Amino acid sequence: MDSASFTFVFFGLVVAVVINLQRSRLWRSTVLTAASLYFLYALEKNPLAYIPLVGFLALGYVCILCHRKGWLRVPAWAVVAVLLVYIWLKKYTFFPEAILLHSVYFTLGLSYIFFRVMHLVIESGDGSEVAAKIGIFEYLLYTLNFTTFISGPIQRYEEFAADQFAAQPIALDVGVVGLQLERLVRGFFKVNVLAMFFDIERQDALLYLTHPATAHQKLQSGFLLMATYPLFLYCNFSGYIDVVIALARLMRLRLPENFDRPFSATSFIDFWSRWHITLSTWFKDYVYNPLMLALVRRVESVSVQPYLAVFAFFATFFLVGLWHGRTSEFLMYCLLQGGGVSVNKLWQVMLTQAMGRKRYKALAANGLYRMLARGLTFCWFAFTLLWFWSDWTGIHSIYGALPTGQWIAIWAAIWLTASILLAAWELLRSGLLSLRIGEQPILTTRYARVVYASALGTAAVFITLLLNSPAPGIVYKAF
Amino acid sequence: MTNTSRNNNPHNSLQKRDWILLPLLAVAAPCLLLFFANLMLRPIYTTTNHRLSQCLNYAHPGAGIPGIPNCTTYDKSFDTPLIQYTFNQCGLRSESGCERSAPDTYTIAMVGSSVPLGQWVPFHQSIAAMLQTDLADSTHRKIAVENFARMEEFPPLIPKLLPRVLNTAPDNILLVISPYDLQVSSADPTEMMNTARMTSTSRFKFWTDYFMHAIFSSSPSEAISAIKLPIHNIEQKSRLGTFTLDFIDSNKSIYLRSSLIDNDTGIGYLSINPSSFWMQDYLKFENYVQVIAQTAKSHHIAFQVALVPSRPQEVMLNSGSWPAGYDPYFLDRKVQSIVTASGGTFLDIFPACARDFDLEKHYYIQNGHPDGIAQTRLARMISDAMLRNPSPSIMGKTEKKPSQKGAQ
Repeated sequence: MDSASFTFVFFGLVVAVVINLQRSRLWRSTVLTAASLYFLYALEKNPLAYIPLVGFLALGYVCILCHRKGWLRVPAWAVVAVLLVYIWLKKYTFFPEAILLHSVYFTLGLSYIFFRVMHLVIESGDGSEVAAKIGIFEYLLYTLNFTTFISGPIQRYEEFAADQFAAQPIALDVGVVGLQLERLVRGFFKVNVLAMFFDIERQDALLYLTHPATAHQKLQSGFLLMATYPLFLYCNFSGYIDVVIALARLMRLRLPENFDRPFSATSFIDFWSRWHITLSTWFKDYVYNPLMLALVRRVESVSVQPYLAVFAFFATFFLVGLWHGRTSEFLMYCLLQGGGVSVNKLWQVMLTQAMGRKRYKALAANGLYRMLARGLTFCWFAFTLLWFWSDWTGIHSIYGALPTGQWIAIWAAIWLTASILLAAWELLRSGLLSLRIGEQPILTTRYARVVYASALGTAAVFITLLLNSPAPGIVYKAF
Repeated sequence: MTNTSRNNNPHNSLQKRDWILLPLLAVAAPCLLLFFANLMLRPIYTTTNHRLSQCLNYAHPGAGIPGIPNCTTYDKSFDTPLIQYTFNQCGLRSESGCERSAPDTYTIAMVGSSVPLGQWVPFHQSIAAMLQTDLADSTHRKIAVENFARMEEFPPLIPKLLPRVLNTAPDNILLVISPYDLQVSSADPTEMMNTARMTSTSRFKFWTDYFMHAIFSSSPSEAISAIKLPIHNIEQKSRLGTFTLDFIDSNKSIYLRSSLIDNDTGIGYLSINPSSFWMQDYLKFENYVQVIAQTAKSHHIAFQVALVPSRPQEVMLNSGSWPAGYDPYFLDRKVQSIVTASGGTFLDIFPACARDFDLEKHYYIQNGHPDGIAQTRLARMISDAMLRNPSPSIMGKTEKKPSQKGAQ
């Protein structure tokens, strides 16, 4: 149930059918609540394991109540309390071991619950009426909604409430159902077939790299190991998001998009506006924007102000990285993420100053520049991910398998290959979309969608049944 | 702010023709996909009309399935080469006749089932052929490996074969087994053959059992498994399935993960806590080994046993790691203790298998048997193990008792 498996999809479809038996708000909310509770029960059957999660949810709601009643003189205390309890429950390593909970408890989905709770606490503290008026039933339904429980997307409460608690639910006609079924199939295919194939390549590459093999095999393995993980992660995560967005839409609930062709990004900043969009948007709303505002108020020098964004980007994406994990490997990951976006921003600022805004814009629009920038963005992301999926021992053994010169050659090859392939993909995509019937591209007609969705579905079911083995789990559920 | 999903497409209204056209497309697209995929794979994954079974005598299933004397046939599965099977006038898979070995020849009578028979393997690459060559090269003396292995010659049947084996006056009885042989140790051979025959002949019974099992499952997950498993088996036997598995199963970890999903009957030998089913198998196997060992001892013949790892075992062995609760060496140690306790010699080839980095790639996808390259390597490992544990006469001369080799 914690992956885009047959069981999860089947469960989601059954819930969607039941929800649509009646259109009343009460019915839809009751069914979604029951389904979410059953989903939780399927993940963990021991009620005692839920006590910390229940405590965390209770704390969040108490903070909202305090804001509503005006009991807190300093609203930030509520934010600090929720943050500290979250870090404590997630067992960040800087907490003394003695004060951590040592019993086994349920933390799956806690990170995504944290974002939702924190969003409500901040908004209610800022005086948002929608957030402050939230009832306990709405609060629980919003935080425990099974479609966003495992790995997001991180939805804002007002968007959730607008669909879920509307007297008249959003339309669900045959066309919408068709589109969602197509998306469901696409997501299932991404998770269970594409992600699995990339995982196969990566694991084989890792094996060859760390076992006796020829120099050629090792070079090839090094290349594949580094290049396939971003593709695996994208298929794994975005495929799952496709599945939950489609299921939620069939339940007349619109979830926010989490991906927008991230490997088409031509800069690392652009990349983060296309990858895990709801996470970066959350951090933009609650970290970057307030931080920039505070810095701009304090620093009056106009010449320094462009560099404030460099610092704010670093701080924001350092925290984005830190959210991913609690170990020193993730600390390195934070530094590389923060470093990547801040250097990217610095590059933009410096080039704009050196060349002038107009010439810099012309350069950024240049085809060759865009091609190489796209490849470099992919390359940097792939590089940072090493600290995301491996540990220090693994990293040491991977980098020790080849001399430094060969690793430099591998990364140069990844950059070049990614530049060429991604540019070719962009060309192919725009070429295919230019084939039109009337105003609509042929590939987006319902006929084309039905053909490729049924073909993808057949391939996915065939391979999944043939393997009789679950695809790799959703990576982002671990955070 | 975040974007909401772009689901409200303005082109949603369906025309009347779409209610027919779209379902038709949804059915036709996958059908055409499967059809053309199979069509393209047809020249790659071929089979023959001939079968090994054409040279096997099924007249007395309870007594084993011997080869038909002087019979030659061919067989090919999707992922195997075309294999020629020649049975000599004694019904053994051998390129030599039924004449007695020369007196100065060290004769090994090899018994077992499909793996030592060399199913799906050209004779010159089989364990029997290669063991003879390897041992002769190493000992600089004449070695004859008489292959008494037969299809489905599982442990319960081997004691019945012993009088015929003893007629050749061997110096050594070598039992080569796989985990599957142990799994069927406690099965009734006649019942096994009859079940297999019935399953293959009565499709009605197969599908009736299938649906009854799915309908009367105790839980939804069991029902889904009951529905999935036969589809999985059908797919696995198709060209497209073979092609897909050829790619996917080349990855050790994926292969192992999918193998370990199998039920206790299939993979219980890897468990460090064997079920009662497997404990019963081990006990039965021990009984049969004791019978063979006592017979060999009473005739002053060496008795040796080699266990050939299954592919999941081999994957665990050479990757050096395995999931908790499993141990590829468990069966190895178990068989070793059984054989040693009964007075036989266990030829432990697992350490050598662990050192062979890509041996597991030389197992067939569909039937799980080691291919020609794997059998050649396994023969070398068995030969090395025999030389590490030499029977008293392998290095020196022996006087043969006059007898008719392979006499019925």
